[in-house]
Amino acid sequence: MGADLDVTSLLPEGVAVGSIKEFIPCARYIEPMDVVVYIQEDLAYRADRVDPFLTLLWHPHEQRAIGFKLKGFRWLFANLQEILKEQSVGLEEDSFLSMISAIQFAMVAGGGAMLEKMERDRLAEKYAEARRLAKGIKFDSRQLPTYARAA
Amino acid sequence: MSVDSGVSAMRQVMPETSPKIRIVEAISPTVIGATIRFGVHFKTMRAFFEDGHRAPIGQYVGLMYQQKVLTKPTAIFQGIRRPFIADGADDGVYAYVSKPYWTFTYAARHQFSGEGPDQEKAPTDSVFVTFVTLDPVVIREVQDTLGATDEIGGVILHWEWTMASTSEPWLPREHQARYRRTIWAPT
Repeated sequence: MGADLDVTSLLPEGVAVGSIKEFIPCARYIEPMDVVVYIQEDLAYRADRVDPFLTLLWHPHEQRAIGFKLKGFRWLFANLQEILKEQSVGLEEDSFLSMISAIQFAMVAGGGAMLEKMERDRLAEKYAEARRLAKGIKFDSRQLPTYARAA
Repeated sequence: MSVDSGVSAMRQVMPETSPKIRIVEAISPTVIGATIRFGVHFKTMRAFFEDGHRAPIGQYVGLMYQQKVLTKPTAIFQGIRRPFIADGADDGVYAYVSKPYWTFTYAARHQFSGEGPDQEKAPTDSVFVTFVTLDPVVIREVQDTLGATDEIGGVILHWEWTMASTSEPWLPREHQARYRRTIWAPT
Protein backbone atom coordinates (compact mmCIF):
# COMPACT_ATOMS: atom_id res chain seq x y z
CA MET A 1 0.00 0.00 0.00
CA GLY A 2 1.59 3.24 1.16
CA ALA A 3 1.93 6.57 -0.55
CA ASP A 4 0.64 5.36 -3.91
CA LEU A 5 -2.87 5.49 -2.40
CA ASP A 6 -2.70 9.24 -1.93
CA VAL A 7 -5.83 10.29 -3.84
CA THR A 8 -4.30 13.51 -5.11
CA SER A 9 -2.26 11.38 -7.52
CA LEU A 10 -5.50 10.19 -9.18
CA LEU A 11 -5.59 13.33 -11.32
CA PRO A 12 -2.87 14.37 -13.75
CA GLU A 13 -1.03 17.59 -12.92
CA GLY A 14 -2.66 19.81 -15.52
CA VAL A 15 -6.22 19.13 -14.28
CA ALA A 16 -5.54 18.51 -10.59
CA VAL A 17 -7.82 20.27 -8.12
CA GLY A 18 -5.89 19.38 -4.95
CA SER A 19 -7.93 17.57 -2.33
CA ILE A 20 -11.47 16.23 -2.67
CA LYS A 21 -13.87 19.17 -2.15
CA GLU A 22 -16.83 19.30 0.23
CA PHE A 23 -19.85 17.36 -1.02
CA ILE A 24 -22.29 19.51 -2.98
CA PRO A 25 -25.59 18.10 -4.30
CA CYS A 26 -25.60 19.43 -7.86
CA ALA A 27 -26.52 18.33 -11.37
CA ARG A 28 -23.18 17.36 -12.93
CA TYR A 29 -22.48 16.46 -16.56
CA ILE A 30 -20.07 13.51 -16.79
CA GLU A 31 -18.80 14.04 -20.31
CA PRO A 32 -17.10 10.66 -20.95
CA MET A 33 -20.41 8.87 -20.21
CA ASP A 34 -22.73 11.58 -21.63
CA VAL A 35 -24.90 11.66 -18.49
CA VAL A 36 -26.09 14.22 -15.99
CA VAL A 37 -26.00 12.83 -12.47
CA TYR A 38 -27.74 14.38 -9.48
CA ILE A 39 -27.42 12.85 -6.00
CA GLN A 40 -28.50 14.28 -2.66
CA GLU A 41 -26.16 12.17 -0.52
CA ASP A 42 -22.62 10.97 -1.14
CA LEU A 43 -23.35 7.25 -0.88
CA ALA A 44 -22.79 4.07 -2.89
CA TYR A 45 -26.13 4.49 -4.65
CA ARG A 46 -27.85 1.67 -6.53
CA ALA A 47 -28.78 2.47 -10.13
CA ASP A 48 -32.20 1.30 -11.32
CA ARG A 49 -32.86 1.75 -15.05
CA VAL A 50 -36.27 3.23 -15.84
CA ASP A 51 -35.91 3.62 -19.64
CA PRO A 52 -33.20 4.64 -22.16
CA PHE A 53 -33.10 8.20 -20.75
CA LEU A 54 -33.76 7.94 -17.01
CA THR A 55 -32.15 5.94 -14.22
CA LEU A 56 -33.20 6.39 -10.59
CA LEU A 57 -30.46 6.19 -7.95
CA TRP A 58 -31.48 4.50 -4.70
CA HIS A 59 -30.02 4.58 -1.21
CA PRO A 60 -27.61 1.62 -0.77
CA HIS A 61 -29.72 -0.07 1.92
CA GLU A 62 -33.05 1.78 2.13
CA GLN A 63 -36.03 1.94 -0.21
CA ARG A 64 -35.77 5.62 -1.11
CA ALA A 65 -34.42 7.36 -4.18
CA ILE A 66 -31.56 9.79 -3.54
CA GLY A 67 -30.87 10.90 -7.10
CA PHE A 68 -31.26 10.35 -10.81
CA LYS A 69 -29.27 10.08 -14.01
CA LEU A 70 -30.34 11.58 -17.33
CA LYS A 71 -28.62 9.62 -20.09
CA GLY A 72 -27.82 10.66 -23.65
CA PHE A 73 -27.84 14.20 -22.34
CA ARG A 74 -26.24 15.85 -25.38
CA TRP A 75 -29.09 14.64 -27.54
CA LEU A 76 -31.71 15.61 -24.94
CA PHE A 77 -30.21 19.05 -24.44
CA ALA A 78 -29.87 19.83 -28.17
CA ASN A 79 -33.48 18.87 -28.85
CA LEU A 80 -34.88 20.63 -25.81
CA GLN A 81 -32.94 23.76 -26.74
CA GLU A 82 -34.45 23.64 -30.24
CA ILE A 83 -37.94 23.46 -28.80
CA LEU A 84 -37.31 26.34 -26.40
CA LYS A 85 -35.92 28.38 -29.28
CA GLU A 86 -39.02 27.75 -31.41
CA GLN A 87 -41.15 28.97 -28.52
CA SER A 88 -38.84 31.97 -28.11
CA VAL A 89 -37.96 30.82 -24.62
CA GLY A 90 -34.28 31.00 -23.66
CA LEU A 91 -32.37 29.27 -20.91
CA GLU A 92 -32.48 31.06 -17.58
CA GLU A 93 -29.62 33.57 -17.32
CA ASP A 94 -28.50 32.21 -20.70
CA SER A 95 -27.12 28.95 -19.34
CA PHE A 96 -29.31 27.39 -16.63
CA LEU A 97 -31.77 24.67 -17.49
CA SER A 98 -34.44 23.49 -15.06
CA MET A 99 -33.89 19.80 -14.42
CA ILE A 100 -37.65 19.29 -14.20
CA SER A 101 -37.98 20.50 -17.83
CA ALA A 102 -35.22 18.11 -18.88
CA ILE A 103 -36.94 15.21 -17.10
CA GLN A 104 -40.31 16.06 -18.66
CA PHE A 105 -38.70 16.14 -22.09
CA ALA A 106 -36.92 12.81 -21.48
CA MET A 107 -40.25 11.19 -20.63
CA VAL A 108 -41.78 12.33 -23.92
CA ALA A 109 -38.65 11.37 -25.87
CA GLY A 110 -38.71 7.93 -24.29
CA GLY A 111 -41.98 7.22 -26.07
CA GLY A 112 -43.94 6.34 -22.97
CA ALA A 113 -47.23 7.11 -24.73
CA MET A 114 -46.83 4.04 -26.94
CA LEU A 115 -46.58 1.59 -24.06
CA GLU A 116 -49.24 -0.57 -22.43
CA LYS A 117 -51.15 1.18 -19.66
CA MET A 118 -49.50 -0.77 -16.83
CA GLU A 119 -46.01 0.00 -18.12
CA ARG A 120 -47.00 3.61 -18.78
CA ASP A 121 -48.18 3.93 -15.17
CA ARG A 122 -44.94 2.43 -13.90
CA LEU A 123 -42.92 4.92 -15.95
CA ALA A 124 -45.09 7.84 -14.85
CA GLU A 125 -44.48 6.90 -11.21
CA LYS A 126 -40.70 6.71 -11.70
CA TYR A 127 -40.62 10.00 -13.59
CA ALA A 128 -42.68 11.62 -10.84
CA GLU A 129 -40.05 10.44 -8.35
CA ALA A 130 -37.30 12.02 -10.48
CA ARG A 131 -39.27 15.29 -10.74
CA ARG A 132 -39.68 15.34 -6.96
CA LEU A 133 -35.92 15.04 -6.54
CA ALA A 134 -35.25 17.64 -9.26
CA LYS A 135 -37.44 20.34 -7.74
CA GLY A 136 -35.52 23.61 -7.79
CA ILE A 137 -32.40 22.00 -9.31
CA LYS A 138 -30.81 23.84 -12.23
CA PHE A 139 -28.29 22.44 -14.67
CA ASP A 140 -25.53 24.82 -15.71
CA SER A 141 -25.20 24.10 -19.43
CA ARG A 142 -21.70 25.64 -19.47
CA GLN A 143 -20.55 22.21 -18.26
CA LEU A 144 -21.30 20.85 -21.74
CA PRO A 145 -18.55 20.98 -24.40
CA THR A 146 -18.88 24.14 -26.53
CA TYR A 147 -19.96 22.28 -29.68
CA ALA A 148 -22.79 20.59 -27.75
CA ARG A 149 -24.16 23.92 -26.52
CA ALA A 150 -24.58 25.57 -29.92
CA ALA A 151 -28.17 25.10 -31.02
CA MET B 1 -8.13 27.07 -16.91
CA SER B 2 -10.41 24.55 -18.63
CA VAL B 3 -9.78 20.80 -18.37
CA ASP B 4 -8.89 20.68 -22.08
CA SER B 5 -6.36 23.50 -22.02
CA GLY B 6 -4.81 22.03 -18.89
CA VAL B 7 -4.25 18.73 -20.65
CA SER B 8 -2.71 20.41 -23.71
CA ALA B 9 -0.23 22.28 -21.53
CA MET B 10 0.60 19.11 -19.65
CA ARG B 11 1.59 17.09 -22.72
CA GLN B 12 4.89 18.90 -22.83
CA VAL B 13 5.92 17.99 -19.30
CA MET B 14 4.67 14.47 -18.55
CA PRO B 15 7.27 12.21 -16.89
CA GLU B 16 8.26 8.76 -18.18
CA THR B 17 5.84 7.06 -15.80
CA SER B 18 2.70 8.27 -14.02
CA PRO B 19 1.35 7.17 -10.61
CA LYS B 20 0.27 3.51 -10.83
CA ILE B 21 -3.07 4.36 -9.26
CA ARG B 22 -4.40 5.80 -12.54
CA ILE B 23 -4.14 2.46 -14.35
CA VAL B 24 -5.88 -0.83 -13.51
CA GLU B 25 -5.67 -4.33 -14.92
CA ALA B 26 -8.57 -6.19 -16.51
CA ILE B 27 -9.27 -9.22 -18.60
CA SER B 28 -9.54 -8.29 -22.26
CA PRO B 29 -13.08 -8.02 -23.64
CA THR B 30 -11.86 -8.90 -27.14
CA VAL B 31 -9.04 -11.46 -26.78
CA ILE B 32 -9.80 -14.60 -24.78
CA GLY B 33 -7.34 -15.18 -21.95
CA ALA B 34 -5.48 -11.89 -22.48
CA THR B 35 -5.14 -9.06 -19.99
CA ILE B 36 -5.47 -5.37 -20.76
CA ARG B 37 -4.69 -2.12 -18.93
CA PHE B 38 -7.31 0.59 -18.53
CA GLY B 39 -6.65 4.22 -17.63
CA VAL B 40 -9.30 6.04 -15.63
CA HIS B 41 -10.76 9.05 -17.47
CA PHE B 42 -9.52 12.23 -15.80
CA LYS B 43 -12.75 14.13 -16.64
CA THR B 44 -14.87 11.66 -14.68
CA MET B 45 -12.46 11.61 -11.76
CA ARG B 46 -12.18 15.39 -11.75
CA ALA B 47 -15.97 15.75 -11.56
CA PHE B 48 -16.01 13.52 -8.45
CA PHE B 49 -13.23 15.59 -6.85
CA GLU B 50 -14.96 18.89 -7.55
CA ASP B 51 -18.35 17.76 -6.21
CA GLY B 52 -16.94 15.90 -3.20
CA HIS B 53 -18.19 12.48 -4.29
CA ARG B 54 -16.00 10.32 -2.07
CA ALA B 55 -17.98 7.12 -2.62
CA PRO B 56 -17.08 6.66 -6.32
CA ILE B 57 -13.46 7.69 -5.66
CA GLY B 58 -13.30 5.02 -2.95
CA GLN B 59 -14.93 2.48 -5.27
CA TYR B 60 -12.33 3.11 -7.96
CA VAL B 61 -9.38 2.78 -5.56
CA GLY B 62 -10.78 -0.01 -3.39
CA LEU B 63 -12.53 -2.18 -5.96
CA MET B 64 -10.75 -1.57 -9.26
CA TYR B 65 -7.21 -0.70 -8.16
CA GLN B 66 -6.77 -2.73 -4.96
CA GLN B 67 -9.18 -5.66 -5.36
CA LYS B 68 -8.78 -5.81 -9.18
CA VAL B 69 -12.45 -6.60 -9.80
CA LEU B 70 -11.99 -6.11 -13.55
CA THR B 71 -9.75 -9.18 -13.67
CA LYS B 72 -12.56 -11.40 -12.31
CA PRO B 73 -15.89 -10.11 -13.64
CA THR B 74 -19.10 -12.10 -13.38
CA ALA B 75 -20.02 -10.92 -16.89
CA ILE B 76 -18.99 -8.53 -19.67
CA PHE B 77 -21.51 -6.87 -21.97
CA GLN B 78 -21.00 -4.73 -25.07
CA GLY B 79 -23.09 -1.73 -26.19
CA ILE B 80 -25.47 0.36 -24.12
CA ARG B 81 -29.05 0.74 -25.31
CA ARG B 82 -29.48 4.50 -25.13
CA PRO B 83 -28.33 7.64 -26.98
CA PHE B 84 -24.61 8.16 -26.40
CA ILE B 85 -22.58 11.09 -27.76
CA ALA B 86 -22.84 10.10 -31.45
CA ASP B 87 -24.45 7.46 -33.67
CA GLY B 88 -22.88 4.05 -33.09
CA ALA B 89 -20.63 5.27 -30.25
CA ASP B 90 -22.58 3.27 -27.67
CA ASP B 91 -21.43 0.03 -29.31
CA GLY B 92 -17.84 0.77 -28.29
CA VAL B 93 -18.75 0.77 -24.60
CA TYR B 94 -18.22 -2.39 -22.54
CA ALA B 95 -19.82 -3.03 -19.15
CA TYR B 96 -17.82 -5.14 -16.68
CA VAL B 97 -20.02 -6.63 -13.97
CA SER B 98 -18.71 -7.91 -10.65
CA LYS B 99 -20.21 -8.83 -7.30
CA PRO B 100 -17.87 -7.81 -4.47
CA TYR B 101 -18.92 -8.23 -0.83
CA TRP B 102 -17.71 -4.74 0.01
CA THR B 103 -17.71 -1.22 -1.28
CA PHE B 104 -15.32 1.59 -0.34
CA THR B 105 -15.37 5.30 0.32
CA TYR B 106 -12.68 7.88 1.01
CA ALA B 107 -12.89 9.46 4.44
CA ALA B 108 -11.47 12.99 4.51
CA ARG B 109 -8.79 11.98 7.03
CA HIS B 110 -7.37 9.35 4.68
CA GLN B 111 -6.97 11.20 1.44
CA PHE B 112 -3.33 12.24 1.93
CA SER B 113 -2.26 9.42 4.24
CA GLY B 114 -1.80 6.63 1.73
CA GLU B 115 -3.94 4.39 3.98
CA GLY B 116 -6.52 3.81 1.28
CA PRO B 117 -10.29 3.99 1.38
CA ASP B 118 -12.62 2.73 4.12
CA GLN B 119 -14.44 -0.56 3.58
CA GLU B 120 -18.24 -0.70 3.90
CA LYS B 121 -20.88 -3.37 3.36
CA ALA B 122 -21.82 -3.60 -0.33
CA PRO B 123 -25.19 -2.07 -1.28
CA THR B 124 -28.10 -4.48 -0.90
CA ASP B 125 -28.97 -6.78 -3.84
CA SER B 126 -26.55 -5.09 -6.20
CA VAL B 127 -23.70 -5.66 -8.61
CA PHE B 128 -20.85 -3.32 -9.43
CA VAL B 129 -20.72 -2.16 -13.06
CA THR B 130 -17.74 -0.45 -14.72
CA PHE B 131 -18.10 1.14 -18.17
CA VAL B 132 -15.02 1.17 -20.40
CA THR B 133 -14.27 2.06 -24.00
CA LEU B 134 -11.68 0.84 -26.47
CA ASP B 135 -12.26 3.87 -28.73
CA PRO B 136 -8.80 5.00 -29.99
CA VAL B 137 -9.75 8.70 -29.80
CA VAL B 138 -10.66 8.43 -26.11
CA ILE B 139 -7.61 6.24 -25.42
CA ARG B 140 -5.35 8.88 -27.00
CA GLU B 141 -6.96 11.62 -24.90
CA VAL B 142 -6.20 9.76 -21.67
CA GLN B 143 -2.88 8.31 -22.85
CA ASP B 144 -1.65 11.89 -23.30
CA THR B 145 -2.07 12.43 -19.56
CA LEU B 146 -0.06 9.34 -18.63
CA GLY B 147 3.64 8.60 -18.69
CA ALA B 148 5.23 7.58 -21.97
CA THR B 149 5.76 3.98 -20.83
CA ASP B 150 2.30 3.58 -19.26
CA GLU B 151 0.55 2.23 -22.31
CA ILE B 152 -3.19 1.58 -21.95
CA GLY B 153 -5.58 -0.41 -24.14
CA GLY B 154 -8.83 1.17 -22.94
CA VAL B 155 -10.38 3.83 -20.75
CA ILE B 156 -12.68 3.61 -17.73
CA LEU B 157 -15.53 6.06 -18.33
CA HIS B 158 -17.75 5.63 -15.26
CA TRP B 159 -18.75 3.10 -12.57
CA GLU B 160 -21.61 2.48 -10.14
CA TRP B 161 -23.52 -0.09 -8.14
CA THR B 162 -26.62 -1.33 -9.97
CA MET B 163 -29.69 -3.28 -8.86
CA ALA B 164 -29.11 -7.01 -9.42
CA SER B 165 -31.39 -9.48 -11.12
CA THR B 166 -33.40 -11.51 -8.62
CA SER B 167 -33.07 -14.74 -10.63
CA GLU B 168 -29.38 -14.22 -11.56
CA PRO B 169 -27.99 -12.10 -8.69
CA TRP B 170 -24.52 -11.85 -10.27
CA LEU B 171 -26.01 -9.88 -13.22
CA PRO B 172 -27.74 -6.47 -13.44
CA ARG B 173 -31.53 -6.43 -13.41
CA GLU B 174 -32.97 -6.45 -16.98
CA HIS B 175 -29.51 -6.68 -18.53
CA GLN B 176 -31.06 -7.57 -21.90
CA ALA B 177 -32.68 -4.12 -21.99
CA ARG B 178 -29.52 -2.33 -20.88
CA TYR B 179 -26.85 -3.87 -23.11
CA ARG B 180 -26.71 -5.00 -26.74
CA ARG B 181 -24.81 -8.26 -26.42
CA THR B 182 -23.14 -10.57 -23.93
CA ILE B 183 -19.39 -10.88 -24.45
CA TRP B 184 -18.82 -13.20 -21.57
CA ALA B 185 -20.98 -14.65 -18.79
CA PRO B 186 -20.87 -17.87 -16.76
CA THR B 187 -22.87 -20.72 -18.26
